[in-house]
Amino acid sequence: MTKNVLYAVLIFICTISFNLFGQNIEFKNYDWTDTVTSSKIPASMSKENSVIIFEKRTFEYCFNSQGNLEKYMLIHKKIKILQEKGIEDNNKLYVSAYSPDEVLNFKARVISPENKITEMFKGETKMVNEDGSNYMVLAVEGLTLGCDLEYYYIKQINANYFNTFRFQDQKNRLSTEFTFISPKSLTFKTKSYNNLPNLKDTLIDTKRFYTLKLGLIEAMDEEKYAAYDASVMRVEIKLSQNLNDGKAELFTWAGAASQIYANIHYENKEESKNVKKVLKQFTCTDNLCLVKEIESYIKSNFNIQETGESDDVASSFKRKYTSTMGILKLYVRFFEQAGIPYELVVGIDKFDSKFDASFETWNYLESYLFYFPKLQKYLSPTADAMRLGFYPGGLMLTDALFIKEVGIGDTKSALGKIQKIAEIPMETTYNNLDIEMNVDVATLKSKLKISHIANGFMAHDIRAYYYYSTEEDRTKYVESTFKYGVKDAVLSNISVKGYDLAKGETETDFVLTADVASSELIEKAGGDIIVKIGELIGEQSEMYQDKDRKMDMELENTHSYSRKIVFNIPAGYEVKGLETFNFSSEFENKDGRKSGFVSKGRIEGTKIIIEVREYYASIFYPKSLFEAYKKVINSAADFNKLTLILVKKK
Amino acid sequence: MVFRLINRLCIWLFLCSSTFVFGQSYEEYLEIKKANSNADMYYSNIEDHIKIYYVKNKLKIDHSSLREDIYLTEQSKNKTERSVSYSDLFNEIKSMEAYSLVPNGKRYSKIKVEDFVVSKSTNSSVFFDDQNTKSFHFQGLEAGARTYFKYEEEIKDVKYIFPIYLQEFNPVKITHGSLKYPNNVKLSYKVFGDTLGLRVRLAKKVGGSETLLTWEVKNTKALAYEGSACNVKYYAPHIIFWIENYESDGKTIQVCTDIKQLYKTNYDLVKEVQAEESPIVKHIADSLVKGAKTDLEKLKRLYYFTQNHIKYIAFEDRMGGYVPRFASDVVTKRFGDCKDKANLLRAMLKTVNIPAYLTWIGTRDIPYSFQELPTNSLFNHMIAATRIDNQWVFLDGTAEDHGLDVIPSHIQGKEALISISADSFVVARVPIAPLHANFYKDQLHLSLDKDDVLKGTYNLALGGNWKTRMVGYIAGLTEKEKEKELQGLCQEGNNKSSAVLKEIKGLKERDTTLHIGLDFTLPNYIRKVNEKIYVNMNYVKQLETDLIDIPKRELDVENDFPYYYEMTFRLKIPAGYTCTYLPEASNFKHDNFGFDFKYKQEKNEIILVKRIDINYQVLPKSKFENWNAMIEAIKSNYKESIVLEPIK
Repeated sequence: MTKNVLYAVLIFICTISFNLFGQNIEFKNYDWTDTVTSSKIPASMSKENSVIIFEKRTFEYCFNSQGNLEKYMLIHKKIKILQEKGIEDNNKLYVSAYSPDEVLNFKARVISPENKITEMFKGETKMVNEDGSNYMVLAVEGLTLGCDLEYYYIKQINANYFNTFRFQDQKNRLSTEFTFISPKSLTFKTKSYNNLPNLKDTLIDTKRFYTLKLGLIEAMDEEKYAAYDASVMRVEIKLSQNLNDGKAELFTWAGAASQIYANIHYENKEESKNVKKVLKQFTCTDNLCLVKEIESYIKSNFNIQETGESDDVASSFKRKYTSTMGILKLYVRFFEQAGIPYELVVGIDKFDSKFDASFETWNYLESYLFYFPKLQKYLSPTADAMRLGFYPGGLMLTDALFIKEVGIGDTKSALGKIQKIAEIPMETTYNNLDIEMNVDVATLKSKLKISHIANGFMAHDIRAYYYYSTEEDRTKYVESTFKYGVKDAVLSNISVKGYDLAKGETETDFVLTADVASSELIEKAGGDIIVKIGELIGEQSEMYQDKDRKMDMELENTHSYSRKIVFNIPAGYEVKGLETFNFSSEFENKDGRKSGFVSKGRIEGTKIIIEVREYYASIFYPKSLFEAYKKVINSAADFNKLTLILVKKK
Repeated sequence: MVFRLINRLCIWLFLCSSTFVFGQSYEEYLEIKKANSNADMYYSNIEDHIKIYYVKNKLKIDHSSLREDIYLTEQSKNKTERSVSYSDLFNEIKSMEAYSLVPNGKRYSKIKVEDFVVSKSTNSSVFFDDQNTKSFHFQGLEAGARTYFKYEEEIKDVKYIFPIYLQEFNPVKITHGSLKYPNNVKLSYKVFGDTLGLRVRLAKKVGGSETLLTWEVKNTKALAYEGSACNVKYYAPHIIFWIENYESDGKTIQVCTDIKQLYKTNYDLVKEVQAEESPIVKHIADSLVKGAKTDLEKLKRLYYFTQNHIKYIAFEDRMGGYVPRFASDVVTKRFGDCKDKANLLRAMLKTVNIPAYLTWIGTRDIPYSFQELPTNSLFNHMIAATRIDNQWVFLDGTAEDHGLDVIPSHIQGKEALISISADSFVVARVPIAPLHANFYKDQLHLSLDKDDVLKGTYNLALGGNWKTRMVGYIAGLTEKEKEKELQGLCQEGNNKSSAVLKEIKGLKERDTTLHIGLDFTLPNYIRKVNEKIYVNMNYVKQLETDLIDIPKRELDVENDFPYYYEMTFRLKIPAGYTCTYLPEASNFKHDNFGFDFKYKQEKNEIILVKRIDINYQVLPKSKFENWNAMIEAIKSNYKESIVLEPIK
């Protein structure tokens, strides 16, 4: 949404400087041949639900008679339907379109295994609105097993200057054709990622063609702890030059910096009375405290809702909800009126794409942060639950554009440079457990005192959820937390601390403590007693069945878990099997950072003390470390299954 | 001068209306918040006024709705959006007015809503529908804010007066309203749901030419919102109104008098499609029944074709919500909704000389019986019915993978309105499947390898609704996905276990049990200390966490269908070992549920056979204590491990 605001201004700038002339698009009269036969697929794929036999995507920019830049798209796809599920997945075709007029041509046909053809046309489609977006939808007639579904449509789309195209998903594709066409006067730069071959660039008469033809592209499955979207074959394409207007590179990082700066300062420069009034109520004197107060004020008083209404500071104050851009404007106005030096940081979540500083596409300018150079801290304007010092983990250690205001007096402008967003240390983020356990051997019931202690990334959401919830929802939350480790937990003496956002409890430990009664943790076998100690840490994520790893392992943030379990041995019994609690698996990244799972058990008098530490000191692990990484993850899951045996003393 | 004065007055009035301060008390808000700590919204006024009147001998219905809400928490401020839906056929919105009152110190500022957005329906499960919505956002919301939302609409079809709910999912200060109608309109109403503990004041005042019905209920608490519960219509108190008849041009026009009248109205909507004689329908039906020797075989082939080869897509376009499409159309396009499938099936059966009938039915989501209501609120579904051996057999075209003898759980026990001809119909009840028809059986046959890993086979046998549920779950998956799903299923008792799919039998056949055979490996499960081996043979602990929190639970518990679960775990005793402890047998019996656990040793195998019976559609609150007693008893069985020790 914020990017749309950016484009609105840009389109205007570009079109007036271009040389004006009309062109015909290449696929204006595109159609398929009338004779067609049902296609064949390799035997190895016959058990898939459906296979994409052919996918053609063509995009073309041209100038209309008014000299405005337009963009058209042709999508042509042929799918082999192999299973019932394949029918269900494909019996509705969706074309994203605000109105039917946008779709210039639309045809679909089903070719039965006996080569009978059923054709469908645009007139049979229907407009629907789903999740706030409009689509033209066709209910496909006559799909049967073994048939081919083929369709194409031509659509006018937004003539944007930055494009991201992905070529891989969880389906096998037998052949792919990609063409990107521009008038001779506009040059584009392209860059391929994740083993996608480079696009071929050819100039034919008055048009430039950027093309790629590929045979089989194998399906890529999702994997745990992976940046899927950022790992599939992809190309980035950006408008580079307008030759009618010189050879200068368009859309540089520097250009983005001034554009974003201008957008945020677009409205009148007068001091906001609303902001002034709020600032007056603040009691802080230093900038650190002021930033916190501003953030707390904005996050508790304004919602982000992209409704398309005006988002200047005064409107935001009136509505209490505003767009993302409106929120940025609010922060900036506050910082500037309070005289707090800041930089605006724009980047992209690493799970979507890896920011590539060497390729200046503004598609990498997705997410916003503020950076305070003197405080050396970041603030996320859009993550409601986070506070100064934390930001969404997908941005950690990624490159981003840092925009800084320069100039004196009224002549201000912006300077942009690419920098890495600094890391948030592992020590800030943990989820710890402190447990004392007593058992009654006669009734096979146990009594425990349990504390859950969380902070950092592992506390933001729950802290905010707890703070804003009703009593009933709070109780439900507390119960579910304790029932995670003790399925039949009955709670008493519950205490919850460290969530009062109004009192500034944004960095204190979020602590849940309760007395827990359970009958589920103790089992018996004749005269012996089995204590399911491992279950106390709750079911753990596991990778027991994961084998051939395709992607690197990536985490949102570094973090650790420390668990201490004190078990009071009941009188008359001795403990067997404590040695199984001693194990460790640790490994090192290239940079020397260690991650691991270490568990130790010992007896102290009538107590058993088991201490466990699991920690992940890096947010990135190359897939060469997969086995070691998997071992750590699985160690926690193995611990979860451990038991102690109590045997009567002889 | 006069002009200037008026002008200034206008400006002054303008200021008043847009930002002026209201005298409503902030203290009242604080009190409400304190008294309703579990709610994030409080409805201070829900008011509906309905007026039925004549315009040139035609009956018209106007409705005005007013809702005033108070926002109690910061969280509730996210609920800025409101909308009303409308369609050409049923209603037209005449006016809409909304504003918010936002705390300003201890008073309120008023912000009027200016932007109302009209859009198409957002129901993604329905393909063709003509629903539109008019929506808007309240502005300036925060804890303590109040909102006012009023709209007026015209109801276009006198058969469809909406119900009035007397309780909401948030606390309400007052729900009230009125219904005014001419005395020559015969109007009935009925109160449904649980009104226990509510003081509902219903009054009827008959005047000279008009009758006024009024309702009022004050200080209602929030309705319970709980899992495994019946549809809200069962417990939320609500009034349903319907017009029986009215006078027009000296004639009495019947609207909703009784089930007979309702049948007549509905029959008119299916008359035309039933009259179709289509060669293509006949052609396809003939090709499907080719070689079938009996009528039963023909029936099955056509039924199963309709279930699985006509894909379900919902249509609610104008009267399309009520009128099935032509069978020829549906069979060619290969998609349709419930009524399209029902009519296609009826038409195909007719061409092979098996009489079948369109049937209106309400799923279990609908609580009303035919005796209570003569309106279409009774129905939300259409099926077909036929007779075999003098018994009604119900055919639900939307029930994929169900065999002829497996009735989908969502219509079991419901009344059905079966259309025989223009003026004849039958009311029959769909049977509830007995416990023994639906089963889920596990068989584990395992032995211990040298690394103390349990290895062997895991066999599943599923029947009735359990089978159809599983088939629906795995049928469409690729081999790879199927293996993963089944693996997941077997991991319920231990996420380290792994399963390799060996065979699936009965996936495509409707009339047999579904068998799934797996090779099974279970590491980290047994416990071995000083050569002594402990094994808990309750690999999956069904119902373990199903204790009902009796003081908190407000609603009866709903179960999809009665069934029994049976597990047989055979464990081979390792060489050189003997079993030194075998838990005792245990059982529990109640009319609606029970279990039976038996351990035994046969040669060198230890066997646990356990069976759990769940025999109810709805478990009423009165039986919660017995239920919990059973769960406690099951849980103590689950604590038992057998012990194996080396032979000395």
